[in-house]
Amino acid sequence: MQSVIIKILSIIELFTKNPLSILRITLPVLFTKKILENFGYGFYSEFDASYSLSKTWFLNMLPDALFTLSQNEFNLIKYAILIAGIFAVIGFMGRISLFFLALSGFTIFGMGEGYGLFDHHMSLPCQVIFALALVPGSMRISIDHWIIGFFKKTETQNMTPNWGTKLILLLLVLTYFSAGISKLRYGHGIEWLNGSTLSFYLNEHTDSFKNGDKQIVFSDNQTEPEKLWKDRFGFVAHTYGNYQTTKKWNNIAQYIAGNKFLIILLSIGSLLFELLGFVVFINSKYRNIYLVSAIIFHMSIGQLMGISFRQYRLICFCLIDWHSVFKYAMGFVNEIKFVKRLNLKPSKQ
Amino acid sequence: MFPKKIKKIYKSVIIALVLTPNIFVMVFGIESFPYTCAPMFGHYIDDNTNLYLLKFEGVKDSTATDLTDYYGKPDEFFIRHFFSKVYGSSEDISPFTDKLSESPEAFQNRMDEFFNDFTENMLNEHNLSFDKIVLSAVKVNHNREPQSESKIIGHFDTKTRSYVSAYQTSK
Repeated sequence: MQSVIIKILSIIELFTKNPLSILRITLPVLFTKKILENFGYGFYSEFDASYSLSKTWFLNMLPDALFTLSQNEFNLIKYAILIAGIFAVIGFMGRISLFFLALSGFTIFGMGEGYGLFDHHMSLPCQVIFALALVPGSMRISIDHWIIGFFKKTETQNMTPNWGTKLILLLLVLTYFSAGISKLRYGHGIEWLNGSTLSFYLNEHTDSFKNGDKQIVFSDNQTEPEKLWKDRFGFVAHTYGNYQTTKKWNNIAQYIAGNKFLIILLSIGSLLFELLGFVVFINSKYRNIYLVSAIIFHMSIGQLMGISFRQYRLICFCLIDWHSVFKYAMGFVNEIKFVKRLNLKPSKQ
Repeated sequence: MFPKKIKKIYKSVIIALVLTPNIFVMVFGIESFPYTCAPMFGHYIDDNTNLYLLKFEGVKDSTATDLTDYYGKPDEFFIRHFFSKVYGSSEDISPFTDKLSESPEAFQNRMDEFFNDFTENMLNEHNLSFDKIVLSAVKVNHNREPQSESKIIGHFDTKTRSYVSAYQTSK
């Protein structure tokens, strides 16, 4: 029994030591599903390569012939994406598959941007998939690693090199930091913290309006007169949507929006959360607290505004320092009398 | 397997490749998938903010047709595309594009390209042609109830194939 438990603990410990491998196994599942959904949505069929305004920096680099595929070629690419997704998950030709998935994401979600939907939900996952294709450690638990180990008899490195994990953490933190900076830049500095902007979005019911009345653009009372040369309105931005349609959550959102104290607290909390992400590099404890907060942050937005950010939550979950949690848990468990007798030590620490 | 020096160079190149575009878009405040300055919910809105619906109308022989049903996609996508990639914000650098500058010439070119594409689509998909396409703004409240009469922003003349700004003309 002791050896079985030790074996199980060793496997758990292997996973906890390799967060990038866990990320590589899980993220492509959601990512591939989303790419295939968008590919079939019409972004491709309605894309006009001769219309330059719908092209992102990446689409501008691709040949126009890529946007006029026959139905057979279109299906072939669909299957190639599916196979790449499966290969990325099992880690067979893993890096090439991840690279292909990332470029497919750059292309298909880029076409989505041209169509009218910059999918902010997919921008970080797309970059994480791209980074996973390049950084060490993402293939530690994979068929590729097993094959290399089979032919190469020397002991392979056991620990994931740290810089890959740190780079992806930095990518995550930078994404939140950019959002925080944007709030200060476009939100009249700290005036954004008075809660009126969040209150507007919590009270928004985008899906309840008929087609033609959904999308609002707005002007800014502080726009300088010399900038008004396109029109006399001085439009600055379009609004974003609140897609929550469940009455219970709409009522909670309205209550928060109407409570001055809560909405200011929420605004300050959101901005601090976005700007202070760099605490993840102080130590494991701060990292884990921040990432759990990020998951709660996205779950709250999901419930109040109907924007799930599922892939962000998965990335945060995988990047938690599970090894420190594991060591803490083992230290706690080993204190139990019965377990002490078993002398459980999964690896030499 | 690889010499330490090559590993070090590889590490530096990958870190730069992954982070540089993100820092660039954050500093300049632009976006182009997958890089974004994350402007979502950032622009300040309060009770005094003027909210508008943008409307497109085709005019032929003095008869106006609301073109909402001919966008070919939900209005959210159509208007967001139009505002982000074509019209642009009144700010020097619009956070919804990858353009680092704005000028009347660039604006005119984008508007002409957009309306040429739009009118061509209308003709090909719906067999509709107009003398001009009028772009207007309706001031609304949060519930989309009109707060004033619709005001013309400009129009696209299908004969000259050029956009004319109402504001510039009135000045």
